[in-house]
Amino acid sequence: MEDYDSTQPSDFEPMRKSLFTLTLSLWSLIAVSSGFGNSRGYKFEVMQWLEQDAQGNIVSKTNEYAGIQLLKGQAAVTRPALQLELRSSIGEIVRLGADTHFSLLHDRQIKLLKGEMLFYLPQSQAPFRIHSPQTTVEITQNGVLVAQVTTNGGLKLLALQGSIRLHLEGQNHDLEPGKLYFIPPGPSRLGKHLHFNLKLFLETTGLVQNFQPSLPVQKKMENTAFRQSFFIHKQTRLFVGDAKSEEDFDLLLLKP
Amino acid sequence: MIPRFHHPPTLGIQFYFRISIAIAGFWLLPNLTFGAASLQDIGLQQVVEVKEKHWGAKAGYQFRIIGRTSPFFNDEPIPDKAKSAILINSAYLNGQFGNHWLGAGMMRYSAGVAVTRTNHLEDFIDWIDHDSQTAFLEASYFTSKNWVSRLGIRTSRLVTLEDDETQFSEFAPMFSIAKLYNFGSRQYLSIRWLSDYSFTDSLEVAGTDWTEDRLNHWSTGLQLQHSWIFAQNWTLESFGSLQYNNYSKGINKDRDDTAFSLGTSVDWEFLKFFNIGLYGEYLRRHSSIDTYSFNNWDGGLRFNAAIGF
Repeated sequence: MEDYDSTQPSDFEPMRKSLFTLTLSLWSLIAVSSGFGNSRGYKFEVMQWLEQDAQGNIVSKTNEYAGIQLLKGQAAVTRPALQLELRSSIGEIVRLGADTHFSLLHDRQIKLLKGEMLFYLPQSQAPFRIHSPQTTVEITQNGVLVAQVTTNGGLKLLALQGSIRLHLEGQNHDLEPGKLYFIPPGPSRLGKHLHFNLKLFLETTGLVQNFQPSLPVQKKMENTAFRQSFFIHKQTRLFVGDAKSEEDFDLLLLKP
Repeated sequence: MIPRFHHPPTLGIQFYFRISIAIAGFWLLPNLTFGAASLQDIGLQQVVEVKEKHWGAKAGYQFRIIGRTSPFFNDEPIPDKAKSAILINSAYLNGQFGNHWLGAGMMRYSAGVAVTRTNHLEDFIDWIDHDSQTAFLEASYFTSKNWVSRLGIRTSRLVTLEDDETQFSEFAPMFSIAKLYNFGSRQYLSIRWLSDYSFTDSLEVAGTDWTEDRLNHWSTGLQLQHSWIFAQNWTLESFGSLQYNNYSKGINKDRDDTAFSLGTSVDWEFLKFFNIGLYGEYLRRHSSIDTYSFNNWDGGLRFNAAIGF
């Protein structure tokens, strides 16, 4: 049974939790002695651990796993029925969706190889970098967004709240909450973008619904969705899917 | 001139109520809800068109042909000659502006006018044919938890067509609080408590207790409305209300009325902006003055045309 894995950034073989803990401890010792993964430096710590049991119920195992640390250079892999919430040492909160591969490269710098993550970024001067397999984005200011790795190796970013600024190849783009942006593979640039129903998304995403306590800006996020609902001129039957080619993305048509 | 209406004209008020519901429904459309998320759910990303708009308007026309069991709104037996089909033509125009963030909610202001003409097809009863005219102005406050508070004023009057005489007019400050519940994307339930005070002006009979202000009353009540899009372009709506009126002037001093109503309708939107439907309503009023108690059934066909921008 797979649980939670910590290993070299380039190696994501799933391991049992006990082995993970052992590996993590050894890694921490090596990291501290080498000065690379200083445990007093930037790191993440498990805050919530959710699993789905055989009956499909979501069970919190936070009591068992809270406090496990993820240091620089380490990675986390969630299996298909596992979600995690991690908090960084300076206040960022990330939530890992099921079947997600993520590694902490450096201070405020992560690599998302597969799956999706929610980011709560409080105000900070330093940029936050997200690397996907084929591109990189740099974020400043504060807010909440979800990043999903697309099949083409790029990213799909969903702005949920706040004022998030994206820096791409020297250009700044302010992300509008309720808008979805594709970042194609290759040199970082903004791809296609469109509005999505923020209220519907918040009500149907496990990255928001499953976790308790909720994010510090949960109320603001709901208010942002509420505000958007006033200005929705038309709802379509189209739902955004994956991006498989460099420029295009899938739209799913919901038949009545 | 003999006063012909011994209670406020309910049609105008009901029509106003429907306008309010229409506005609430318009606001509800984007508020979809679904079941709890699972661990696998990234979340539905429905494509929407967003237009930051701070004003809007809606205009509409409604035609109804109905049967009514108590055209005089009393429990007296109805002579056959008075059993008449009734044609009701209504037109309305509503405007809204605002949509400004205030505290934790959204503020919106609305104004509207509605005119309704009621004609009885049988000559014997056409002396009660009338126009009712209603105008309202209100401020609505919407919160993210689907609560809506409204503060407003309404004015209306009723004019008989036979002699072009204003039988009744009113001016009413009002307040209401509503909670809206969504059940999936196709159903919602609205529960609304409202209260108002009507300052009225009716034809008086000099030297009697039939004073001009005899229809002044305080009113409070609860209204429920359920709307369900049960098939493409088909909507089933049901409503119920319980209302208490307290009168304090003239001949109606110490009069208390309790009104209970239930109704349902099925509408088919056969073209964009147009729908046609069947509806039925039951109204029971119990009054502390027996002559004002009655049961009434309305049923008929209606046609609506509406456009918003």
